[in-house]
Amino acid sequence: MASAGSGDEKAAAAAMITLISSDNEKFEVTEATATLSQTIRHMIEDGCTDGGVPLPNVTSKILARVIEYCKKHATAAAGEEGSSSSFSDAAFLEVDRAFLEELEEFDDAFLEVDRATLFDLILAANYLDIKGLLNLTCQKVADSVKGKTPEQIREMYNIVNDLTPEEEAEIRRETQWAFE
Amino acid sequence: MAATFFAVPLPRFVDADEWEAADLTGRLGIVAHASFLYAGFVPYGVVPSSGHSPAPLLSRRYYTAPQLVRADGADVAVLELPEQAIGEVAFRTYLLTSAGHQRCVYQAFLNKAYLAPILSGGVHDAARALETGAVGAWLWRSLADWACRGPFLELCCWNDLPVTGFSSLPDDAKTEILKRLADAKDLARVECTSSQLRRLVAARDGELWKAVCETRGLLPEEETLEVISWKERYVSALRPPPSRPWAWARATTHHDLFDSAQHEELFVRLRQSLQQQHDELYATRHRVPVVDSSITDETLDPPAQGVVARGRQSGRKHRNVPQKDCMNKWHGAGAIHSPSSRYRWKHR
Repeated sequence: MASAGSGDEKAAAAAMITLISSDNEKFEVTEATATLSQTIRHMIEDGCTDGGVPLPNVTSKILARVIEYCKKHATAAAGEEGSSSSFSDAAFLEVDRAFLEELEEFDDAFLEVDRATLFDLILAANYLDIKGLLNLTCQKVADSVKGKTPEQIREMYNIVNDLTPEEEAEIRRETQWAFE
Repeated sequence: MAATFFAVPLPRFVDADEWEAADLTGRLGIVAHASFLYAGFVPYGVVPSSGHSPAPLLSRRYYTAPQLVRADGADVAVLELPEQAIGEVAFRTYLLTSAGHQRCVYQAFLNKAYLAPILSGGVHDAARALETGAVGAWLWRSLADWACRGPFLELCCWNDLPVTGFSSLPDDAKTEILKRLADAKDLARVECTSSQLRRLVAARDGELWKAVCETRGLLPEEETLEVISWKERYVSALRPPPSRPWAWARATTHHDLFDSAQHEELFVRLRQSLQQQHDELYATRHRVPVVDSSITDETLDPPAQGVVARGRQSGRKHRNVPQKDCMNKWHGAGAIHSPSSRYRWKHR
């Protein structure tokens, strides 16, 4: 039974899903990688992945980055699960720390992208419902806003100031406490 | 009580009365309108002269990218509700260039029998059905992801606008970013950047400002009947409560406190209160009789136990001070320095 169960698990891990980007490029990924996306997980559960999963909002350039992220985190998660059964507590903690450090380094390097790519990644993470990636990318943008004035935020993110001078003055009065 | 949050933003873009007044076709139009705003478009007021449609229309609306909203003759996205045979409703979306070319045409014909269960309830019921129902979720995804988001990206490409920037993100993604701002001041400053963000933060008050309030422990008391937004709750908590003059007095500079003539009555009470508290505090801690500051050292009684006359060594006259109290804030031996006596020069 154990060997049958193990075989099933291997078969499940080996199951491949085809993702199709908006520019019609196909990416073959394992189910474990694909199911980091809750959107794709639901599609797999509903049996809607035959013939590939079209992702009309994600370009091949961005989808490749998203898959890179999912692969790394899926591998780390699998490694973490495997290690828990084969190490003592102390060794497990050590391995766990090593995993986390490696993932942090990967995440830091992953975020070294230009601003447009960062927003594309946010968009893709939001659409595909990948919580870890969404958190990572949104936090990067949120951190960049810290301590900035409205003018600096507008300039940084190309936000059009469509407020009339009167509206702006009123808002400034209302939120004076935020500028002290 | 905070409003229920729906991932499908229908209740944010339409009020219940407008929804109730619309028939099934009108409600489909409202859902489509919500999906355009969700995709990043903003309504565009000017009707292009080339926006002609051969089919009789029940309704037509125009949208564009936020960066183009003030431009005359901008490229626009069009939402049309064409008139259909009985038993069917339809919507049509396309991009219309300033030169009059139609692109990215998307058209759907929907059976009223399937649509009615989704849209016939209240606006919140419809939002729930579009989020979780099998047919409803398909309809919403078709509109938001296919009919609107694609054209939005296309329109940005034509106009050399940053394809994806903060402004072009859907509201959900913007909210995810704003949720992660570390400081309430940052959230308030982001709100000041544009009317679009101001509206978004106000609409997501229950997500954004509520989280800020919860972090600070500013939760409403159960018996409170007053309905105020979470932002108002936060801002009002920044102001010291009027029922605690102590806190207010500490938060106000002496200059402000004593120069404000209109609060003279309060100052009198405050001075009395301060004097009384200091007297009580000092008498309790040091067991020293309270004396008037005008009394000179020579007139004082011999030092009580635990009090030494420090001035004797230098040969100058000094008041007696408690032996172990030299590090305390209140050094005066017996003399109590109320704010009025400290800042006497202010009251001449």
